Order: sequence, then C-alpha cells, then structure tokens
Amino acid sequence: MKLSKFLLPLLLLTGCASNPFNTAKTVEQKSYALYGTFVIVEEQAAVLMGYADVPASVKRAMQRADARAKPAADELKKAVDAYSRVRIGLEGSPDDARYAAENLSRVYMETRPIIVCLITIVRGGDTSCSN
Amino acid sequence: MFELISLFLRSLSIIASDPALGSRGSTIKSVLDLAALAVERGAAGRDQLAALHEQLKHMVDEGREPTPEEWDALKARSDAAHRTIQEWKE
Repeated sequence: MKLSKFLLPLLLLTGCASNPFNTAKTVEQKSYALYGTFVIVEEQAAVLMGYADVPASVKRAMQRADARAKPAADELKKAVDAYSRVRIGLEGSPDDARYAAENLSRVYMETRPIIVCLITIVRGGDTSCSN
Repeated sequence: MFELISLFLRSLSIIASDPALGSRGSTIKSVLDLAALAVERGAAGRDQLAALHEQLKHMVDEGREPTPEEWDALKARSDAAHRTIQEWKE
C-alpha cells in the first residue's frame, strides 16, 4: 500500500487550518513564516522517522528533502540577518541596502520550492521532488 | 476532535489485530495504524501552524519584524530536528 496516497487527504484536511503566509506583510515576516513552517514540518518529519509504520522509502525521501531544504532555509536566515542589519542602519550604504533587499527576495524565491518539497512529502504527497 | 478520531482508529486497530482475523486482520491493522498516525501528526502540525500564525499576527499588529531571539529559537529547533532526520539509518 502506498503511504503517500493514504495520508494525503487526511493530512491536508488537518494540516491547513492556519496559513502564516497570508498574515505576514513584510519580506522579513514572510521569510519568518516560511522558515517557521519549514521547522514545523521538519519536526514532524523527525517524529515520523521514529515510526515503524512509515515505509523506508518515505523516510529516505524525507531525509533527502531535508538534506536539501536545511541549508537553503539557513541561507534564507542569513539573507534576513544581512537585510535586517542594513535596514536598522547598523551597516552599509543605500546600494548595500538595495543589494540586501534583492538578495533576500531572490533567496526567498529559491528556498520556497525546496521547502515545499519537504512539506509535500511529510503531508504524504509525491516523493519524487526529493530525487 | 482529532484525539477522538485517533483513539477510535487505534481501538479498531486493536480489534483488527485479533489472530482469528488472520492476514487480512493484519493488513487492516496496518491501515488503521497509519490512519491514526496521520490524524495525530496532522493535528499536531495544525496546532503548531496556528501558533505560528498567531505569532505573526502579533508581529503585524505591533508593526515589528521578527527579533534575532525569535529567529535563533526557530533555528535551534530546526538544528535538532535536522540531526534526528539525518541520523536515521535503514
């Protein structure tokens, strides 16, 4: 039996009550929403790794997806750090501020699909995105 | 509500594990265990997402950005979960 087909409807039903992305307004808040969602899903994946009922193929896919998502998420945090320091005036010129803002937007857009892959697998969706 | 559904599924699973039901009972038990697991994990994720949603609502209402301490707290959780996931071996 395929776990993915089995879990998908249930997890979608129970997992989408609140959407932090709709609430966040600024790029820093949106980045925090993305990183926070990643952490929640990563913690769920960590719990699922301990369940004997979860097939090894799904665990391998979660492991691969997390191995890709973790450095991407941490890169997002670094980009936020850099942007925040410029924004509050700790360092940098106006050019630095523009670069930091553009860099954060770029990293955010690049990170999002990588994190969505992990979310998809943990929610019981297609594991092929981790290959 | 999700706790009740999970409990119900786990109860059915125990019934299905009766040896008198043979291999079919074992298959039904696996399905029910997975269903209960899905409900439990889904409910846990929903609660955590709701908490994150609330936290962001407060940030927006207060007109502030996430603090370094809030970021560090998230990163510490991520580091711990990442270690657990990557330590798994078949």
